Amino acid sequence: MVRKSSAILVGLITAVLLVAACSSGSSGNSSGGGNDANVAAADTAVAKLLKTPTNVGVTVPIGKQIPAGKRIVFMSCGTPTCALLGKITQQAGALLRWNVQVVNAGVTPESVHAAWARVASNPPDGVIGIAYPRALFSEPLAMLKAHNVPVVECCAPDAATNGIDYVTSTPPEAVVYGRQYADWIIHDTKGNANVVFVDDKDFPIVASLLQGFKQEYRKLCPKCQYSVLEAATTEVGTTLPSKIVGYLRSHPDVDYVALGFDAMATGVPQALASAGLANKVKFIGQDTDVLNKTYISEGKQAASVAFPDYEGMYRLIDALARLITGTSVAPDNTALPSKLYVKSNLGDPSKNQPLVPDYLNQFKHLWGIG
Amino acid sequence: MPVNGTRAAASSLPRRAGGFARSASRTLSVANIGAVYVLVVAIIVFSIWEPGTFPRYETFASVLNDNAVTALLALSLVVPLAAGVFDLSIGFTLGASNLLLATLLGNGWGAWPAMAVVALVALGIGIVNAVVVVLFQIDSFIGTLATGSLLQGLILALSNNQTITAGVDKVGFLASTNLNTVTLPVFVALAVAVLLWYLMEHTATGRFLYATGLGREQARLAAIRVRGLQFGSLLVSALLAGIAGILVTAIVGAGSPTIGPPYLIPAFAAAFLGATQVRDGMFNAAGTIVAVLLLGTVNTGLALANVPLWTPYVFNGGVLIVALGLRGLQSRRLARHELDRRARARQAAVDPARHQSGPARPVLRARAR
Repeated sequence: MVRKSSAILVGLITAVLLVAACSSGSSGNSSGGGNDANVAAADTAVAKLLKTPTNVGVTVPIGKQIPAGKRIVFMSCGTPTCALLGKITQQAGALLRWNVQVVNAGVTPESVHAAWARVASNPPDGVIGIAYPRALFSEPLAMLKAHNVPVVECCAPDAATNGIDYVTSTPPEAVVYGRQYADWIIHDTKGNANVVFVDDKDFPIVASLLQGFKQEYRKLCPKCQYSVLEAATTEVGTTLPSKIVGYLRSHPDVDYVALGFDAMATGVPQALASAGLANKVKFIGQDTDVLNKTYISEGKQAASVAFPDYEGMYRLIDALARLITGTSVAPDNTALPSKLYVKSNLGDPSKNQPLVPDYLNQFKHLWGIG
Repeated sequence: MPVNGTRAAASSLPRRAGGFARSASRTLSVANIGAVYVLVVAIIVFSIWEPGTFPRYETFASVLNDNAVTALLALSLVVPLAAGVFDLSIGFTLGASNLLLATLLGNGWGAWPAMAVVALVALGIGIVNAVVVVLFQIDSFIGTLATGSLLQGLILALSNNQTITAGVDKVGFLASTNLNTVTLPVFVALAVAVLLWYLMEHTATGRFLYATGLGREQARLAAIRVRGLQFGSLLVSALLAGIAGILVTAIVGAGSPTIGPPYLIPAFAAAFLGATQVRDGMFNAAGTIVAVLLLGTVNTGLALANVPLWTPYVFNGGVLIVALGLRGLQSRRLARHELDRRARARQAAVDPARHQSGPARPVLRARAR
């Protein structure tokens, strides 16, 4: 019986391997490099991205008294990133003497729906959502709309319609981040890159990032190679580093890794070092965390497209203030400020910092306070 | 020493009978080390599939380095599982150790004092588990799950749900120290495996642990200190999980609130798969190492082959199901063997002349577990 079970085990392995062998990963274009003009264009783009931005993206003050004492709910996804965004939102709300409550909505559809339903059953004065598509909370959203509660979102694939009054860091902005990936890689490799993009379909916004990357990459380096490696969120920090290294070892021409988001970098530098690839392969990510800043400061990560945590969350509070006071929402609503972190412009690697140094003064000016 | 007590059961666990040839044949049989043969098959398959990348020293080093922490965590389960106790808090203990170490280092502590404190705290977690399970007599599955939940709360409170990187480079040497690119965590896991192998195979404590796991009440009646053994086993698992947390801090270079729980399932998978190897259905260090190597080799091979996203999950799930099926079969076979042996002993005691020779006649059948 044991012998039979071992035979079953061998058979299982063989069957799985045979089926897996019939599938293949996606691959990109043929070999080649970029011409000097395209590399120069990438250099120019990168030079702008390395600079510290000076404008939070909104310049027209609200012009009205913003009522104090409002209760705002921040729907947190519970991850460290969301926890940070929640804290920043509370700081912004405190300036207006608003009470910002952080509700942990979790990451499963059931928990998200349940959390939004609880909030809608006791409607606050405003709601901030992060990264959740509206399909997960459509009924609670309708209830909030019926109570005239303004709802604003960040980093979600939805448009500002039908219950959602304002969205920032939308898919078109993620496309811009993807272009920044391509600009940096072409600048850094002088147009001779071979890139693997690590995708994660759990986050639709990463698809926009990939779209932007491909557009710019093909434009500036039509014959440069790229490929896509699919990953699952559950692999982040556990098996993803060895998966990436395995891909790099089986594709030795790949010399750049573009991560769908920076949290994927957890454990990657050590895995690259163990495989002897640390000096051969570089990687870039987006949505910089202190871990990535530390990696960059130690030369283990090449660059990171920063997400404007402070400016983004203050922008959402600004949008709510405009909606509550009946003012036009972000009349000159331009894209959020952007920056590319490299070793030379990192600042303090142990802290998450705003991109615009005087963002606080700018928002205070917009809100007519202090 | 009683004939049919559990001490006798402990000392009469299936032995390699007969001469050297029969002993070697049994040791190398598929029933005993089938996973090793499966590992060999996997190596051959991947060497043919990816000839340019798989059959190289880098792959060997990669398998060892990538699975050292999982191996250590799986080994941490061997002692409590052998004693019949689950410890579901090990992933959270790893995470709490990781966070605590990062916090201490970030507050200016030196590497060695910080690691010593973390080890002591891990032991403290083990004491809490042991009190809950052994003294309060709460089922270990539920009790350690509950302490794990408490630890998750502690992790979030300690970290404020943020990643900690300041000062963590002080323990970086634990991950960068290597011998021919095989890093220090691998040697730590190996050392622990050797220690556990010696404890479980060559000491009375090891035999008593197995006896406790095979039959708690019988062991107690045989004057084995069951509660003490189970208490100690939970200390061992917590301490080893704490050491795993220290190593993972060095590897990742940060304290992260999400780092611990994902290690739980692979560790249990390896421990249960390992129980089907070497030690005839009982949790053991050597079998666990073989299991980690098998799972790690196949996952590394699949990564090199750039297989679809679903493949590693299907493989790991399938292996676990087959392994648990094997474990159940072997456990029932072991129980039947023991009951038959006791029946023969009783019959021999009643009528020695009649039962002196001849084939064994099983009188009692074990209940299916």
